[in-house]
Amino acid sequence: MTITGKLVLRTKCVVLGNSGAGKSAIVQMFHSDGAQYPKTYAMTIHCDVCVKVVNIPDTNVSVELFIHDLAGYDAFQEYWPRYLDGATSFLLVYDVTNVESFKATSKWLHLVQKARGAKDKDAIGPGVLVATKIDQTLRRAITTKQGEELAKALGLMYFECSAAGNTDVDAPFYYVSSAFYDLYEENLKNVRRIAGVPDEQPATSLALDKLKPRQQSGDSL
Amino acid sequence: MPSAHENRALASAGAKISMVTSSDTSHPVDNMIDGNTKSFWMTTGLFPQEIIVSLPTLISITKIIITSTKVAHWTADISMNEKPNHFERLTAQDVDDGDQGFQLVTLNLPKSDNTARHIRLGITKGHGPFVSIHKIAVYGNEPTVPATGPAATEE
Repeated sequence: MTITGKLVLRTKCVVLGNSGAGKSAIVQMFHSDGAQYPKTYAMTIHCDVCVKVVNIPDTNVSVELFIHDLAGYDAFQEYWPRYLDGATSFLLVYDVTNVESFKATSKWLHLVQKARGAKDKDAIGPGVLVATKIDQTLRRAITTKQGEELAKALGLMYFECSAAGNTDVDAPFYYVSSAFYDLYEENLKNVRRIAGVPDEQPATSLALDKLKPRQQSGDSL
Repeated sequence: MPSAHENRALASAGAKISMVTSSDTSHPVDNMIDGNTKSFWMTTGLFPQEIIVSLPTLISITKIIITSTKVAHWTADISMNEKPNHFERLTAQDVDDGDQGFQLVTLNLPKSDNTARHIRLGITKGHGPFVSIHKIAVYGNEPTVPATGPAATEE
């Protein structure tokens, strides 16, 4: 693959969960590569948006995450469906020291499912369950086992992290990015099937296919 | 001279794609105007997405047919200018999911005169995270000389 062969995928990634669960803390730590931990609490108003590029290892693919850090405070609930519209991945967040936030995860997932619409189950793409504040060992109310069981019941991957301790904050975002790339490849397979193109092409013919159109389009673009 | 039954949006006839909003070099944009539904261009995530098809000459368009998958809403604008600017709305229409097959969409042409050099196609929604466009076919005639044309030369 040449330099021009770089593939950029884009996903709207919504981060949701109860107010105070630590959504903004993990988003800001991930976005700043661990440099910006919000030491004081600032309630998110409506929705904060930031973009972060994740390179998929051993490929020429990068995923641009358009992270939508949703306000979890109830006053904004009439806006939640609007912010979820067009989302193609999500992080469902709860706080391990707060039982209410753990219980509320099913409510949040229901919101995601509603935005998906009944027809297309995969419309919102990959999602993960993220447990935050694991550095608070003494105050911890929800165990890893409970979290894993919930994730299994909801059909999501389980991650736990601490923004304050800068522990494993990146992992759920990396997982979502890589799962989104898998979704793209899967979609590509499906489109090839509809178009009646053989799926597995030998590597040599693939390389040739790539050379041919580039020569043609060189002067026209 | 090409007849009205010939597809004008063919790279081999001089048409080109002036702009797209996403690209995967394994599925280049010219795949949409190679006249073949086996090859395609696919979006790489998020909406809206746009494509500008530039025709070799001014064409009085009689029909636009698009072969695609997972498009939920098309918009189309046309421009008569040499450069792709000052577009005017042609149509906006919803598209049903093709489920396990192609969507074959004929765009509505509400006006009687749809003369254009450039066609801007917009996808504002999809039935899935990605949509693919396999073929864009544009039919029409070279516009007849405007009525004022001969009169002006006679003077």
